[in-house]
Amino acid sequence: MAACTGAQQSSTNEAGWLTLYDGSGTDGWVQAGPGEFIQEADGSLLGTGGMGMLYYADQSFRDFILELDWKAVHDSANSGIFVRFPEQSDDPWYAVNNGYEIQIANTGGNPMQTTGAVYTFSPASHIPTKPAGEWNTYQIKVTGQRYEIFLNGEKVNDFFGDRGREGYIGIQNHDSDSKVWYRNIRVQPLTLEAAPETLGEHFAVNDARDPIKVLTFTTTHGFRHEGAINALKESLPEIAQHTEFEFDITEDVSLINAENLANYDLLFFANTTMRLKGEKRVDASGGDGLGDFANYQIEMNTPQGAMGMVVALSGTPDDLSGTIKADGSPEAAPLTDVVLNGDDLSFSFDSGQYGVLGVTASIADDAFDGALAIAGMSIPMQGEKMAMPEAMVLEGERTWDVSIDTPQGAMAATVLLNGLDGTITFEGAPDAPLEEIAYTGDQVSFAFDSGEYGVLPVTATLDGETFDGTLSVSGFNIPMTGTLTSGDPVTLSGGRGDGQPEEPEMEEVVYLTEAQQEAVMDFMREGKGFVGAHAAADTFYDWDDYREMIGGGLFASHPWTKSVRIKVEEPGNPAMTHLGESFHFVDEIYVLDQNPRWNSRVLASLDVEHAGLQGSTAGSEERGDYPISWIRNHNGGRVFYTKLGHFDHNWRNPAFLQHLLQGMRMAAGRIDADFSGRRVKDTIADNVWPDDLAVDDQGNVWIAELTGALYRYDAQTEESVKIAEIPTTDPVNIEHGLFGVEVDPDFYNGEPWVYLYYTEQETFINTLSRFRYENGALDMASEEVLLRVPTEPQCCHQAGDIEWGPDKTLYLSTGDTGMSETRPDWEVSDEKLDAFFAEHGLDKDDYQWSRLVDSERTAQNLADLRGKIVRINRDGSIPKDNPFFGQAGARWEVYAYGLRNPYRFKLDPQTGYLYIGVVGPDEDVTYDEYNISREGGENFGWPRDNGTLVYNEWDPADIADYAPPFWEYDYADGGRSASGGPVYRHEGPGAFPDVFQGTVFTYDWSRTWIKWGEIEERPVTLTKTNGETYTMNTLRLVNVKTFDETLMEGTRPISMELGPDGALYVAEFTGFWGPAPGSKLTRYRWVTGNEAPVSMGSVLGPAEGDPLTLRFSSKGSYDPNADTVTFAWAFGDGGTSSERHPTHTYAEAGTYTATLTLTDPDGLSHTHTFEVEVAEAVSTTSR
Amino acid sequence: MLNRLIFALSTVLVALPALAQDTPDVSAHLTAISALASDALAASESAANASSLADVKVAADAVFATVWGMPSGIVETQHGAVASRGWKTRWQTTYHNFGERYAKRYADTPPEINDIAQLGIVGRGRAVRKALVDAGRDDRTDGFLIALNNVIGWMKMDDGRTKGEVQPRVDMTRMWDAPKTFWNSTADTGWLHEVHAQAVNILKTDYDGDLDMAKAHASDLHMLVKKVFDGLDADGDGTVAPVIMEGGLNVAMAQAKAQGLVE
Repeated sequence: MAACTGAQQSSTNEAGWLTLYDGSGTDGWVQAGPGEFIQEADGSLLGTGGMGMLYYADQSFRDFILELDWKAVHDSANSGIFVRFPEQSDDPWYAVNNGYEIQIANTGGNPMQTTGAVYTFSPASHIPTKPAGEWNTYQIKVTGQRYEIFLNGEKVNDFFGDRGREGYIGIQNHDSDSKVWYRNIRVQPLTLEAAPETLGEHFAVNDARDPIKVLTFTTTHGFRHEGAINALKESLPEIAQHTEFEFDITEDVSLINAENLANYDLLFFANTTMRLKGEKRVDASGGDGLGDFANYQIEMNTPQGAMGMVVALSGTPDDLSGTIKADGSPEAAPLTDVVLNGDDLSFSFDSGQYGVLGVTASIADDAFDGALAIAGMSIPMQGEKMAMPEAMVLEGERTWDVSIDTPQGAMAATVLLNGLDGTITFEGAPDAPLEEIAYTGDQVSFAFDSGEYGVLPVTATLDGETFDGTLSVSGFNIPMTGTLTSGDPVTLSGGRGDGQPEEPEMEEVVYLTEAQQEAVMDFMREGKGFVGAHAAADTFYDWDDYREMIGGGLFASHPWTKSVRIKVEEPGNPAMTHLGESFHFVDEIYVLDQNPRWNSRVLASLDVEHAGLQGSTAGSEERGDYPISWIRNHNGGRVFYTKLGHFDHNWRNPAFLQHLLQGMRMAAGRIDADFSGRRVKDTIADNVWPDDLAVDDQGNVWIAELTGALYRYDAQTEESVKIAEIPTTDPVNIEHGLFGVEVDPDFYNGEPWVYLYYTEQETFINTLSRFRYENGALDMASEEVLLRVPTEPQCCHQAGDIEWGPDKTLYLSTGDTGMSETRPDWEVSDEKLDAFFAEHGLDKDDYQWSRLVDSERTAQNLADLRGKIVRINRDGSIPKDNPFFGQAGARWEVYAYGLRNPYRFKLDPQTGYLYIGVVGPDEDVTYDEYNISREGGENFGWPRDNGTLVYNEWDPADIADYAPPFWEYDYADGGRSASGGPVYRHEGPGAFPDVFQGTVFTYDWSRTWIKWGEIEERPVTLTKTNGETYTMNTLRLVNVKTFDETLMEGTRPISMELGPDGALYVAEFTGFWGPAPGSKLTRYRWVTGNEAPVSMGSVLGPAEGDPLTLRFSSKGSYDPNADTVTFAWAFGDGGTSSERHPTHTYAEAGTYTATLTLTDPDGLSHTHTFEVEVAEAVSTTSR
Repeated sequence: MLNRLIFALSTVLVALPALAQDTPDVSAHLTAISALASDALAASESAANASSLADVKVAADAVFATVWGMPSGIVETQHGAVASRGWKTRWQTTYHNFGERYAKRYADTPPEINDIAQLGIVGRGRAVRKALVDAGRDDRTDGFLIALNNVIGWMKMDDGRTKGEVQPRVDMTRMWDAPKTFWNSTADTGWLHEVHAQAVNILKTDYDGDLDMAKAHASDLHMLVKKVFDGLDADGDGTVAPVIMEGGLNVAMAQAKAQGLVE
């Protein structure tokens, strides 16, 4: 019983709050179970001993808001708040098993048992606790069967339960090490007319609506999300009772046929893992049974060194299970989500310390070539198939008494094994037969049907008389240990087997016929809807139309099974309005093999930085962009897909279900939403070798070639014509030539000037000049030289990009034109180097070169224009607001300095910021970097620093005006040529989605990618040669995403512009010193809005017994926007029809030309013309 | 006054003896360098006290010409690019100095100017330095050459070897072990280039009638020319020594006299 007593008087204030404990005493409270609560000097209650519970016995509560403060002595301290246990009891487990516990344990490991969780039922979406020792505030809102948990003001859980409707409130004293204090406990009873008792009531629709008939499949030929499927089979019917939805939920794939689909509005794949075809063991018993599959001896190269392990797979390709066991580890971990698609294997396992980890691998040719994803890293796993030992089976009957250590306490059971037969028996329950019994090494694995929790797998090591295993439930591993009670002690000597033939005979199974596939596509063409949830992307890998329908990408891996933050990209979309700008969710987040963003309208996406990916996306293979849900048109139908829904608790989460139901309403066309939007890439000129481009106000493109040719792409004629040939140097081996082009911002207002930056022949003076454009060509005699930058005929680093400022000043990037190397032995003799290091007591190997002094004469020399961004007026004069204007001895054209090769940069006209890509040195310990010039005057450090590396004796404090980079990357992923692209700002027609607004593009010629990201204030740490570090806040590129990962094949981006039409224009430059095939000018457009329908008419055949009467079909016709269209048939003999599938009778046999025209509400139309043979036999020929 | 000054300056440029590349007359060129610098000092002082924007610009152009031996090519009402010497002219080099692979691309015509006397202080200074280095002096230890380098800059046509290839190479790699104070100074690239930069600034700025601003800039120009003469007491020991970052033209000439390079 409670040790503390006092004169606590419960009282209710005007706002209806009833004080349960305010520090003055615990009258009305009763202790149950061991331990006690002690009233501290500050009035707080401290739980000691346990496990027990202090509960408020004076009153039970129905609907209420409970508020209290708590603090824990350390993060692993365990406690909780019990709500709604219906009876008073001396047994605290009664509250656990009959009410709900809102958990306190910041480092619980198991999300179901961590702070914010509804213990064992629903994990917290995130855990915004304060450090141990500080007070936190819980607000627990209980209405009907809805439990909403708020921690320190943030909603962390939203769960629908089904336990008692009214009950008591208590606080837990868990154990003597778990010191947790409570204070300010109060409750506000609620009097609600209609608190939701079920999910259905929560989502109840009160107005009259036409039904939405949903054919829902949960069929699994691959991994089965048993818990989630069971949960949705409960929650969806609940919802259907109170809404317009009618769910038919089935596993029967034969129901996918044209006749049946005609009865539905939506096709819903809910965690399906269907395949078109599969293999099935030919088994006399009719069961698939488990068989040998393969074991692999693997070495994993971790940063800490190599680690050996064995992956054991058993079962059939469609139904694999297995274990993974590290060398020296006492036990194997069971594999989950095992999927084998061809030779591509993926699975997950619970690593313990690092949580659930995903593995992907190819197992072609008996080799295992894979990788483990952990914390954003990819750890190689390689090995080979092990020779399969002779099959062995434990012979003779044995029984073990086992104890299963559940969170609710230990449960006793008896396990009986006799070869491939066995049972498990729980106290008071009938025997449950063991399934899938298999032996691997010294381990046995089996599964059994637990009833409430479905089929549960067990893996155990058998050694002598001990049984040491784990039981997996809901993704969590529960210890299961026991002792042999009958039979001989066990000796398993490493063999493996299950008594089945080693190479079982298999037969092919067709799950979905071509006719069924066509029926689904026809369903969409008729304007119906498709909805996919979670594993619907782990479905139909070999059906291209399905892949395209759901956005182009199918499951590749699931690196993140945890709490993630999700950004809402279209907060106004009906499926997203309740989720705010972002929300947290615990789920398994798929990575798809292609990004659906480019074929879809993305509603929400993973917060990449929150997932720990920021800074690791410079590799061309890394996408960094993971849409979570999206909508799209597909051949006239509407598609809604959400990656969420892995866990069973997700299917009782109101926020997720609201998201899903609204998505269904949109897909069914019951809620208006714009499903249009996709990216299109065009090649607009393939007769050029472009190294720079400019897009003028009318969308004409000016294209510079390094060798001096200038082309103009005419937006009207869509042709590119050479308009000038600038005499310049041969760029081979030296990089001089024609670098940059721009056109005057008043080009179409009487200033038809074209600005070029090129190298004068012979002099090697890089020259910024302007020329008049007249009569389709540049007037070479009109040249006005605005700036001269003398250089020498030595390679390289010329830079040479030109950009306009919003005030019509002209910015130019210049390179350091040096040859400073980062390899000292290329510049200085070994003797001199040795003497230097000896004099300074330095180790040559530890001394990150370089004293790149050659670039000091340019990049760090303010009296020289090289290694700079310079800014001039259109007439060549110097703007008086330039940062160094008036500084004696500096060139006042200088705007920013300390740059190596700022080959491409862009200016954001809204902020005036410059985003500068800088190509770095060629050595491992160097970087390419990107810089931001916010107001001019910045020194970006070259050659004293590079990326986040500060060379040798330099210190950021020694570098005047120093500004660190906003992004950098080293050679880990290959060659580099960092280029600063445009800041996307465009509204109206042609605009990319809102999520692109204000984002910064970068691109890399060497790595062939284009990326985009956001600029945010973040800390950056610079490291000096001797290991000293400097951390400072600056603007950094975050949430970097790949813009083009598949379209840039065989070519490379060298310049990029945002056009007045919102499109992104790219100069693709292949070849190095000379043109190579594939060079071209391309354009990325975002296409939205209405598109014309597609018509397809055909003749099905003559009516029975009447060869002159033909049955026509519009099958294959659709409206991309799923608008209601009109059908206009002309049969070629003067007859017409407006039916979808008409019948027409001709007067006589012959050949007729028929047409079918579809017209949408906006008047856009399309006509299909075809010939009709009217005779005894009928055939059609499309034109 | 200014017109007379420009006339006198051009007279000096024409009258001074040429320093042929193969047989440089060090004494004559040092005398000419001193005279040109004095003219620059006078011109910059005139600019700082000018009574019109035109006078400021003309004087700045005169200073500009002392550096490279050519006028800027722009006048008060023009603001475009100033004239500039091409690489062969600035470095007085031909393809014969370099490997065939590189020389081929740069064409085989000789430098446009073979008369060093047309190159102004920098070109003459480089010619003098080359002659003395070719004669065996080390410009990192020779007091005269150190001071000269502080004025004209330490950039140099060296053996042009990079990555094992001989090519036209202007660099400062030979100063790779200098202290960072050197790189943070303007002596590394030469004080005369600050003078040139300031003259260019004045020539390219549209003052829009603001004579006071122009004269302030001209005062800075005069200060920079004085630094060319006076050098700096970089180490604060009260003297301006013939060491890097300190000695200017005065020290150079004193060293030259002490070494018998000039009378």
